[in-house]
Amino acid sequence: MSVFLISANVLLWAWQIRRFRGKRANVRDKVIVYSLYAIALGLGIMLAENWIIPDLLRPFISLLGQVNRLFGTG
Amino acid sequence: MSSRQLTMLLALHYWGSALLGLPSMMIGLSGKDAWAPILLGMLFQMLIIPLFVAIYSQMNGDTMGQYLVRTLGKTAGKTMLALYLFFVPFLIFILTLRSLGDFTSNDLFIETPPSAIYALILFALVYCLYKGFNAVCRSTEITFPIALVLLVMLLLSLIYGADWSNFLPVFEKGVHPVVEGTINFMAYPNSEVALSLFLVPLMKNKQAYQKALIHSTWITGITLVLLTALIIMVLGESLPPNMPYVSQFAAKTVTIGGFYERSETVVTVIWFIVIFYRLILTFYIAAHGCAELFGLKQHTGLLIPLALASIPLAMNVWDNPSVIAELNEVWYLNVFFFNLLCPLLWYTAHKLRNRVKSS
Repeated sequence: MSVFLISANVLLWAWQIRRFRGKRANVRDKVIVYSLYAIALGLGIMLAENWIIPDLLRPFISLLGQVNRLFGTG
Repeated sequence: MSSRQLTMLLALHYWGSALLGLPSMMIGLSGKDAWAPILLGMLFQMLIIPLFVAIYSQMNGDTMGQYLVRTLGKTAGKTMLALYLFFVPFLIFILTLRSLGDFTSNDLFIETPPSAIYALILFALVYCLYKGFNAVCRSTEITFPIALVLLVMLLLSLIYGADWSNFLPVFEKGVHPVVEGTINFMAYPNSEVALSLFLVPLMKNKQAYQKALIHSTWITGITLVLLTALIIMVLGESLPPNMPYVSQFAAKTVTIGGFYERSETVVTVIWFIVIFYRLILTFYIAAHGCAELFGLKQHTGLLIPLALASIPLAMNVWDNPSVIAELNEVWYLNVFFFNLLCPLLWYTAHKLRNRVKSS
């Protein structure tokens, strides 16, 4: 499944590059969109290699928990 | 977008995860009095709606990004927009996507990898948003009546196994659990009315916007009160807090005359419809908001990369669904800050700015 996601990412990125060439999109648009594709590809590779600890929400919950204790409501 | 379409869209959005998860959460907090916080929350929501209508007037047809820049200045406005987009619509989108995967993996497609489910639903979301958000709004005129009819069918089915004595004694544990439940209900799903501010440029006029907010609030409130009350009557107060998908379990208990059974499929169909609209609204707001943030003219170019990035994020947001219980204890802080306090600050800041300019 990870291979499928990475392949889909690369193919869709290539399709987007073709679209931008045809439309002659400005540099800012290209940079933003290609950056997002790169981030998505990076996350896909990290998922495939199990580099991400599957607990991304923990820091957020801890932060809100501390705010909760600060206000004395938790 | 007409008032009717916004009403239906917001109602479907509020029902989103609430139909499956809210009764369990409310009964866990308020016990057999879980119907009371939902009623109270609905009434408080009616009092808050004028704030969002006032912000609509201040926005004057502008987008949220333009309004924030006009109100808070360029840097503060863009920072506020970035924080809001990340901590509200995008976060809700990722969490809802993960909930969808958890539900389908546990109950429906047990052997299917969750990422396949995410890819399928994201393909549908991206395709629909490529066709334009107006098309999505028009589609609610077809799907909302279907969801409502199925929901009424479910509620009527549950009446057969209901035991009214499960409500007694009323307010046994006092007012405190009811207050706690009201705060949590206002946090989820009611505070998400703030997301409708991103749809202001699509609305015709203030009256239509106000009508939509009011109607969506009472439609969602009444249906959730009835659902929660019937679940208490069917299952009591001790079982639901220990179940993640209590509406579906309650539907499984329905058996009438030995032939009217398997009504949990009704819950599944309703839930897929409403979860789709919850995902599409939050995804649209996240993509459109990002386009505004980075100064892009069109948000369609961002749909595919955001969808691709959301799959690994949804897969790693938590390792098992028990984290939801911890999140429910603190979620109200996030949404109260971004969906209630921040709009109040924006309204006040805009008023002060206008006063300074006129003097």
